[in-house]
Amino acid sequence: MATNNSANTYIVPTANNEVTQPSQPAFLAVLNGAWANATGDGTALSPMTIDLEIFDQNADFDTGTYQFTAPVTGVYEITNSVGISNAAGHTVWLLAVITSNRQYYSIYTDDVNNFLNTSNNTTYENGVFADMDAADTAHIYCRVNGGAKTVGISRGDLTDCTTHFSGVLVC
Amino acid sequence: MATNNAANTYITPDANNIVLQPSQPAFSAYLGSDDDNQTGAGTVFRIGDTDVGTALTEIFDQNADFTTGASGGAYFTAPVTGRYVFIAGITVDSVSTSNYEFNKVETSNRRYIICSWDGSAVVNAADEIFTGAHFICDMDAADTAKFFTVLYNLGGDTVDVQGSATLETYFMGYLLV
Repeated sequence: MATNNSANTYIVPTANNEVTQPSQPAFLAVLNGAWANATGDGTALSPMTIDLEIFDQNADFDTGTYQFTAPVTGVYEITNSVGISNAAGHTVWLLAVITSNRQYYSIYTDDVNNFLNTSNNTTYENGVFADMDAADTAHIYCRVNGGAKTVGISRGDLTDCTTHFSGVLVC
Repeated sequence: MATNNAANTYITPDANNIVLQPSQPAFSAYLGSDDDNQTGAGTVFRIGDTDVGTALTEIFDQNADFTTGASGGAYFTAPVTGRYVFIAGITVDSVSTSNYEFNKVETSNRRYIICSWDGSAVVNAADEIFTGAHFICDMDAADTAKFFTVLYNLGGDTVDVQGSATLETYFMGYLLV
């Protein structure tokens, strides 16, 4: 098998033939705590704050810039979930993943009220396969319009991934 | 190449260099028939809970890590520490005026939210809602993953979880890296 790594630390099969790739780029990060009054008046959160890593295999996610940087050209699976709170009476909710190459909508509605539960919050999740070139970046974009800047972003922590961002190099 | 398997049956490229991993943990299962009256008044219903509903039907279970039905719900058990992808979808019926639907995938390490919204505002004309999502999850060996739904604010548990071979409700996953 062709390889650049004769010690083979990049594919690690177990005795039962399960294959792990411990150096493969893969990350999961969350918003560390709730964020009040983040948007609602059209303020675009881009990149949206995602500042607590749960794992970052290969160290490609930056909790300072809230962006993932592709270390190599390939196809990446990128998922996100964002919760918003206190959004009653607002109108537009736009949530997307933006890479250097493309923008992928998760939700774009003109009436966010249709999604709110009785606690005046809601969440949306989406995932995409994204083509990325080496050094391209990916981040979350979130914006709510139609009212005051009173819409919050729901909390995340090490056990609750309500607002999170994740990705992995697939092939 | 260092390997636990000199015959290399864990990665099998074909003549066109398409790579298969025939022993890689991967499963796909669905609810084959409706589980009626499972939630609506705040009762948490875990898919494949054989105490109150039916076991799931497997489409495939490469490496045999998925338990289709059990008390407390169907579950996947990670055979090795790694990053797993889970894909979950559910259709609920008779949502009526329930204004709070909450679905999650829960692993031993963490919870991943699928939806938290006003069900009565997003139902279709047949009084049904489908929601689905997928997540990249860290799991340690022997950790488990389940999938649940709960709806609130109805007078009783009158919401049905729909199942059929058309995959109205399903749970899938695989070891990615």
